[in-house]
Amino acid sequence: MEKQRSLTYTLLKPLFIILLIIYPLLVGLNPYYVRVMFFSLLLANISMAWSILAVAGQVSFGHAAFFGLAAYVTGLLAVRLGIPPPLSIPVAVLFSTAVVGGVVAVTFRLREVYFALAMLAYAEILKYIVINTPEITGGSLGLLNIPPLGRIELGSEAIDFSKYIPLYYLFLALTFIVAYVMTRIMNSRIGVALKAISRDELAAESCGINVFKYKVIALIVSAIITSSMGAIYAHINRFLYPEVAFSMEWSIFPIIASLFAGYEISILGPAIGAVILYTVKEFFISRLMERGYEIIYGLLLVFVLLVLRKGVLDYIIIKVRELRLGKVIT
Amino acid sequence: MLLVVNDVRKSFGGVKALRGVSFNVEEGEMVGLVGPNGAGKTTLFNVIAGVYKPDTGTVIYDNKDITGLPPHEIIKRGISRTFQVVRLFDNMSVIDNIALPLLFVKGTSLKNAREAALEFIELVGLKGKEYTPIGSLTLQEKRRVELARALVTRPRLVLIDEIAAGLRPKELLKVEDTIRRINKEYMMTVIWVEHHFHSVAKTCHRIIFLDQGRIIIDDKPEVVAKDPRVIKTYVGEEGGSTSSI
Repeated sequence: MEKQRSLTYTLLKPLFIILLIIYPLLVGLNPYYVRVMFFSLLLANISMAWSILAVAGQVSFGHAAFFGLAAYVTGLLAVRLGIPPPLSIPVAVLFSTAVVGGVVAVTFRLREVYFALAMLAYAEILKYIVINTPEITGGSLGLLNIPPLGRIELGSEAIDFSKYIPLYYLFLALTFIVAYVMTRIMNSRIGVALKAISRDELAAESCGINVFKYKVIALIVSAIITSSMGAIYAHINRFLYPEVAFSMEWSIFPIIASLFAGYEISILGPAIGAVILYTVKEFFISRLMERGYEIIYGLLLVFVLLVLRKGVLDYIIIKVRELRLGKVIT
Repeated sequence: MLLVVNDVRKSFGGVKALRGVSFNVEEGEMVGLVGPNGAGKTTLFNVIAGVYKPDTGTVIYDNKDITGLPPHEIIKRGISRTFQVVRLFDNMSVIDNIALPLLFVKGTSLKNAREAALEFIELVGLKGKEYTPIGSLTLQEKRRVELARALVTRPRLVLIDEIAAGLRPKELLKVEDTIRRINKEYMMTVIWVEHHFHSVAKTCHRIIFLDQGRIIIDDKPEVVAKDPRVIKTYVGEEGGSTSSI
């Protein structure tokens, strides 16, 4: 319940924020480096979204369901009906949150591996629905010619979101908003309820916490963020294939990032984990090995879980607190 | 009448845990609920606290039917509980564990809830351990945290489940004293499930003896202590008296 602040975060947070703001300048506006970073921010948002549900005790293996459905809905609205992205994106986010969220809420009776597998199944079911409705979705051949995000006219100037630099700052702004909202939530009554639920649902209920209600709140927040990322992605990528929109990567990467950095102490951990893992993968690992970088991820995760037990950031925060308080915190 | 349990039955598959249990509890009473393992004591608590919905029968609290209400509603009505196996939040400190129900039952702010929790931390003898992580407490200290958490909302009825398990005689006396204080100073009605018959008999106004899901006897401690069925359960076939336990 205490506001989880530490010296580590107090020093690192502003530095991290400044680095992110000046990042395009640091890489000489190189489109490749900028693209990698905005993509890592997209994953950072999905990782934060995943972790709020995990804090509520519901580990999902199927966030690709939210991502893919929102991507397809906005793509279809734009391609088939000519609805502009500023309208099709919110409609897609609401639709995906309502449809998948409604089904998932019913699944809340399941816990642990059963819930995780049910989520995985939802993503797969949606993928096969898309594949088997080619007359609407394009099926396996994909949905092509999705319009870009468009431009914002500011007097004589215009911000064109089909360019990497504006896109980067759009994602950076979205990440700051998501991180702020999530931090506020976790420091509020909702966050306290979720932390209690994550440890013991029956005890939480007996303390007056309506477990189902708070899980649904976590689900809605998680679904809105993931769906938003999926919908925006559709207009950046400009084409969708079922295997890409409902790829396991949207489900698995947030788990790896959250476990790598730790998600129990700070909701920002998964975001930082996502940025570190994705950029390291793109800038270093994939240059060494074209395929099979997942092996490195796997080994890293095994090391973190076996040696540190909690994620890297959680481990550092706990150690710093121990040094400051001079006592052991488990 | 504060609590009326009327013909409550509950089965799990083929196992009949409660076979038509009926009893009343007056406001201000201290009632001991005793019986051998598997008698149905904790199941009865779970039915009253909303964890289980009874197959048949009703639970009337303060003249309102609360049968089948979920636990988060039951505590809001004024019934709180402890658990046979301690259920604390190990990602929170002692004070936050105790303060937590106030946030959700009374809508108290965290700051005020923590202040209110201090009184109950003192009552259960954990002063000085407010910010200790739960993981560093002994089992008995954890039980006391759970008791304080059950009291912090100042419920009218507290269900205490085997708080004295594994205690030494001196510690047992402290628990008895705490339960008396809860009843007298805080005016709370208490139902106490416990294996220590002697402690329950010394502390409570009335004892309900439960066996195989049925109430065998419901009377004053001195009467229950002399009942042959109770003596048989606690002392064995050879005879003796429960007062010596």
